[in-house]
Amino acid sequence: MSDITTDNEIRARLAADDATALDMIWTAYASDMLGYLVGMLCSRHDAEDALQEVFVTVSRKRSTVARARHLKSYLFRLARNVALNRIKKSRRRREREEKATEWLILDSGSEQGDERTRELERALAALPEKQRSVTVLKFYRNKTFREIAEMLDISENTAASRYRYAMAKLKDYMQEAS
Amino acid sequence: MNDTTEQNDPGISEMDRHQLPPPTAELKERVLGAARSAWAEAVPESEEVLWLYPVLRLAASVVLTMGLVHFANSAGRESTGLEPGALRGLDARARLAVMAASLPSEKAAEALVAHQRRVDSILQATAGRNG
Repeated sequence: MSDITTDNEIRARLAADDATALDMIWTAYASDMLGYLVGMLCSRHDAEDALQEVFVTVSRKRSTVARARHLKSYLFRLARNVALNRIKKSRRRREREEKATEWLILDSGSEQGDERTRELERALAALPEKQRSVTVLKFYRNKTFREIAEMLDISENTAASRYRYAMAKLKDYMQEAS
Repeated sequence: MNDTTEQNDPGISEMDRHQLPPPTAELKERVLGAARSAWAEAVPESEEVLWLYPVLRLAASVVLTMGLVHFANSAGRESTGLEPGALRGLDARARLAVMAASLPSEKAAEALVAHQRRVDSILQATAGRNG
């Protein structure tokens, strides 16, 4: 089913007060939204809590969500607002940065490298949030710039330049670290 | 990310060795459980209520605008002592005289009379030039 058909079906079910819309949203968007939230919050635990908050909000405001013109970007905007509220609440930046680990795992074929994994997590956490989100979606969710642009309601060029800047910074960071 | 031109980049190669864990079945159960509870608790807004909000907002802004216009008119009447339309049908000189007489401040009235004199002199000069 195409994105548009899926979105129309989700909207129709939300409007009809049919709770199976939640399962459809999960199937269509949960993995990408979790990846996006992990990218924003640099914490698997916080991202999972934020994802739950997004779904609860969708349930409560289902009539409004049903009328969203672009469901995908609406849901990602909602996820972004939830994540930003969480960032505001955790006032102490150091506390956040200390928590910013253990959200990536090594590929099964790769050799052990806990320290390198933590180093990469720290490098990603040091990026500006907007660049990090695009990088995580591009790299770990295999999204095209066009898909990222649709999700985040930005232009393809913006998505591409954020990714380019992020990769340049990561390269410097990892070279310094090694 | 398998672009061969980027393979030597230390950032890329390090990122290639990692992945984001997908959502677990437990997480799905937890998130959808909480969402379904919220669904049951929240009463959906009916279609009638949905279109009523913008209409009520529009009505409120119309009432507010009318109130502001009324207030501005009253303030204008109080400051000049003139009813709207009181100057209608009068020529420029008569208007100035009425306004000068109705102003509470003597200074303002004097300023208007001075202005009237200046207008008179300009009119006379123009009439003289035109023969």
